[in-house]
Amino acid sequence: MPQQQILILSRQGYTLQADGALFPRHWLLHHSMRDDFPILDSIWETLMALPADQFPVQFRFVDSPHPVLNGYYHLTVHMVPGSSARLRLTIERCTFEALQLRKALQLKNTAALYQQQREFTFLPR
Amino acid sequence: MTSRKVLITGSFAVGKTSLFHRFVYNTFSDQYLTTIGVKVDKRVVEVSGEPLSLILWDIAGEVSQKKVPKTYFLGASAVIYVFDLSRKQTADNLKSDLKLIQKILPGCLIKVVGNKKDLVSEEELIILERTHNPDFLTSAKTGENVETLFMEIASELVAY
Repeated sequence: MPQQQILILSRQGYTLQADGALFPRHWLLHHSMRDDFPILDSIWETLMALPADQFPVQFRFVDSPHPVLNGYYHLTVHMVPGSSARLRLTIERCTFEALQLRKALQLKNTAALYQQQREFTFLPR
Repeated sequence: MTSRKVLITGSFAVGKTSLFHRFVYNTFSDQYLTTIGVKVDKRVVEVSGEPLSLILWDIAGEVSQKKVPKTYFLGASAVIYVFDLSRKQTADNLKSDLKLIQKILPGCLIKVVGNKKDLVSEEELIILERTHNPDFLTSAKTGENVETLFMEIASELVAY
């Protein structure tokens, strides 16, 4: 199963070029990635105005509410050299890794939570 | 439509995801499930007759904000700092964390929220308000003050 997709996006977030096969082709023709990933939409203007030296911008383990891409993804945004109006988005599937990590953290946090609950209350003793 | 990014942060298991779910989907689960990475979703609210899209970032809980990746703060208009009213350790880093957030996002709207109000007594709440001075006391479980919290943030962001 393909694990990665690289997309060149226009200023509006539409796909200009695609490599990889995470998305079905027809999906790429009709959707802005801004609509697909609220995480990108919420920072899009900031990304377009970001100085070149602050790229790449990476978000690890994004829990996607996407109708086609369910699961967890690492998203990395690069500026396209020579074009400040285009961004290169790499979407890497990491659902299995995320579930493993969640399992480990769940155990760790539950143990810590139990310990802290035993030290309950803000009241002075 | 105008949209604003709101980051929900704080230590692990303080109820960030529960606040997120209560506000966006009006649901609640008693089961604790650790958040990995970041989950983003939005809800459109109306402020003074105009729609505003609040895009909420629910991020994995870290004991200190120093460990939260700086990219998460990118473009945030408001930060909700949540601590657990029933676990005093979750407010231990409050002052230094707020200082750090103010440094990363100067001028950003910050709300300090004491969650899990349903788990503490009135007596404890009085002491807590004196010591930590939270902006809101909420219960994601009962829904108390959750809507008020987000609507106040929305109003302040529009007025800002």
